[in-house]
Amino acid sequence: MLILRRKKDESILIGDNIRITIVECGSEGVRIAIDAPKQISILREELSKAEVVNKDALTPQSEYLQTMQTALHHLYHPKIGNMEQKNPPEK
Amino acid sequence: MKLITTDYGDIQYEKEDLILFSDGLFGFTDLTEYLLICLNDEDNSLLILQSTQRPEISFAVINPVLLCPDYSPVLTPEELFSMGVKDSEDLSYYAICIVKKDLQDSMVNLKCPLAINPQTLKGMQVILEGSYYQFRHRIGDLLQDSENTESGSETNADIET
Repeated sequence: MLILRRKKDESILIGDNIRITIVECGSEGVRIAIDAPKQISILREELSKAEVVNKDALTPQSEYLQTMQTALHHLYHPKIGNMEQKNPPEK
Repeated sequence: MKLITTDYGDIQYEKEDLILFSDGLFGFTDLTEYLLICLNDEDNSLLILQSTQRPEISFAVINPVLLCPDYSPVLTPEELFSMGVKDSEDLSYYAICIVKKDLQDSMVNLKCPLAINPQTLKGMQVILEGSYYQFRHRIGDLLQDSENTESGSETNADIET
């Protein structure tokens, strides 16, 4: 991994056709301009992670859903005798 | 009146019931129309976000406040503008669950909630800035933290990315 220090308005060149420029540095973060061919995908890393997590969550198994629903229901609607309370459970 | 067949039987809905995610969801940017379905009339803690464009695509979602009472997402000004609201509190939030056999081991994504404008039914999946919320929180750990907070001691949530 290459680590460089750049100041505002300075750039980094990657390969023949990618340029990264520091636009602004501040306490809220660093603004970066990326000049690259359209066919190169540029993503915030979190976006890539978000896609993976959504795909892992896809179409849950229905029997697990039932179990989860029942467990949540008991957690938030505990029955005392025949009366059902709507308050969260107390220890 | 339209019908779709899913894992959850045939569902009747009106066009006005649809939640529109104009940018889709992460990894599913082409799927923009969804219904929020209750599995059970008595209890809406767990809901299904069902695509009407591809019936095999659905997600289990939960109101994140049930697991994390302090959950208060803060959207960027651009996101708020896009959603047609002034404050993050004007929106409803749902978190996508990774459902496992055991509730305790199931995960919830608090980093990328679904933000829905309850007036317009416009929706957007956002990625919250900052590191407090993560992509995968184990539900068992969140519930443990809630109990500890109630009883006066505090621990950090165990988190997985």
